[in-house]
Amino acid sequence: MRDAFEALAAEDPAAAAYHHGDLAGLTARIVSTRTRTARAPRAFRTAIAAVVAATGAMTAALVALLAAGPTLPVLAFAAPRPATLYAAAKTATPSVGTVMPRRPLAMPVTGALGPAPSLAAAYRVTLPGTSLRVVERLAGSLGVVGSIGAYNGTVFSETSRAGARVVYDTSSGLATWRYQSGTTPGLTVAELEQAIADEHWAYRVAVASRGGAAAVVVDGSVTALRVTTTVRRGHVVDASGPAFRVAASVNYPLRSPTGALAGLTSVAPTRATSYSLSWSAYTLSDSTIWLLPTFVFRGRTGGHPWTASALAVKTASVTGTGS
Amino acid sequence: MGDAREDRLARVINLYESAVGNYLRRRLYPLSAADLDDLVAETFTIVWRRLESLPVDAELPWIIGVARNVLRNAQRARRRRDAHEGAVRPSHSSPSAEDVVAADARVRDALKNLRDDDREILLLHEWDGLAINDVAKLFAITPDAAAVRLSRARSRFRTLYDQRGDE
Repeated sequence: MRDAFEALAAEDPAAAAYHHGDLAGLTARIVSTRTRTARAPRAFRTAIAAVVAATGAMTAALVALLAAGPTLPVLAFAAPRPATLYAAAKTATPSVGTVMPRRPLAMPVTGALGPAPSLAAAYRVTLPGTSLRVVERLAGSLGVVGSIGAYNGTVFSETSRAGARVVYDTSSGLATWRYQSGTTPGLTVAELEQAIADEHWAYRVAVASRGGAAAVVVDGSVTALRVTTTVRRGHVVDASGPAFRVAASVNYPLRSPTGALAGLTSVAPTRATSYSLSWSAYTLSDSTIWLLPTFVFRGRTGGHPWTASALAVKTASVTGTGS
Repeated sequence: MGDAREDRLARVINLYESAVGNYLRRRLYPLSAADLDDLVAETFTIVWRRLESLPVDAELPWIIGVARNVLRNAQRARRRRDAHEGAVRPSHSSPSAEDVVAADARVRDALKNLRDDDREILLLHEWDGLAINDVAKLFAITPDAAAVRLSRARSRFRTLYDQRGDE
C-alpha cells in the first residue's frame, strides 16, 4: 500500500514539467512593455508638470503654438525622454538584427543632414473598442471559436478546443493582439492579412510569405510598429501586432534633423550618415497615445552600424521632453 | 543599465519559468490550461516591473509570491464572472481545486480537509519542491517556524490520509 506522501507525489498535476513554448518571444514582449511607449510614473509626471508651470516653459510653448496656428495642440510629455543614444535607438527600432551600441558613443557632429519636410502628420490613436467586443470580433476574423477568459481587466483571450488562441492585451499603452494556431493548421498569410483588414484598424501590413516582422503603415506613413509572424509550411502559427484606430490626424511643423541629432546627442555628439522619418507610439501626460513623427538616424562607428531616434516635431509644440 | 536589467530578466525567466508554470498549473482551477501561458507572462511582467526589488538570495520564493498573487487575482476575476453567469444559468456544485487536480480520492479528501495554511505549505514543499528556507522567505517567517509549520501540516495530512483508508 502506498505511503501518504507517495500518493501525494503521484497525484502531482504538474508531474510533466511546464515549458513555455517561446521563451525568447516571452522575454521580448515583456521588455517591450517598457520601450513601446515612453511613460513616467504619476508622481514624476506631477513633479514635471509643476516644474514646467513654474519655469514658464508652458507659456513659451503656448506663445509659439499660437504663432503656428490656433488649432494645433501642444504635445505635453510626461517627462524628459532619455537622451542616450542606446535608449533612444531602442525606443524607435526594436527590430531584430540591428546592431546597436551598448553605451553612448562619443563622435563629432559634422555637416548638415539635408532638408526635412516642413510638416508631418501626427496620429492620435485609441483602443479599437471594448475589449470583449474586440477579442470576439478578432477571434471571428481569425477563425478561433471557443471560450473567453479575462484577467485583471486588461488581457482577454479566446481559446478554441483545438488550442487556437487569440489574446488582446491593453495593459501597456498601445493595445496588442496575438494569434496562436495551437494544433489547428493555422491561417495562410493571405488569410491573416485579410483578417487584419477586416478589423478596420486604420493600418495595413504586408506579411512576407516566410513570416518575420512587417512594418505597420498608417495613412501611407511607415511606422516603427510591427506585425510579427511565425510561418511554417505556408501557415501562420504565431502572429502579433498593435491594435488601434486613428481618432485624429494633425499636421505638425518639423524641426531640422541636424538640430534634432545635436539635441539627442548633446552628451555624446554623433555623426550620422543618413536619416529617415518614422512614426513611433508615445503616451502623453494626458494619457492619450499618439503616433508621432521621429527622425531615425543611422551611422557607423568603429565598423559597427547604429541607429538612434529623436522626436521630429518642432520643440515649440512640445513640453516636457528633453529630446 | 537597461541591458543589465534585460539580461537579468532573461536569466530569471530561463531559470524559473518551469517552476512558475508548474506552480500555477497545480492550482489553476477554475481557470483552464489554456490560461497558463498568460499567467506565466503576467507573473514575469510584474517581475520585470519590480526587478529592483527581486532579492538575489531568494529569487524563487519571491517570484512564487508574485505568481500566487497573479493567480488569486485571475481566479477572483473568473469566479466573479462565473457567479454573474450563474445568475442566469442552472447552478452546479463547484469542485474545489483539490477535487480537480487530485484523482486519488484519499489524497483529495485529505487535502480538502486540511486547513488552508497547512495545505499551502505542504504542497509548496511536496509538489513545488521549495526548501524550508524558501518557504520561510515566501511567508516572511523564520526557517524554524517554517519547519514547525511544515511538520505539523505533514502530520495532519498523514493522519487524514490514513483515516480515509481505515473507513
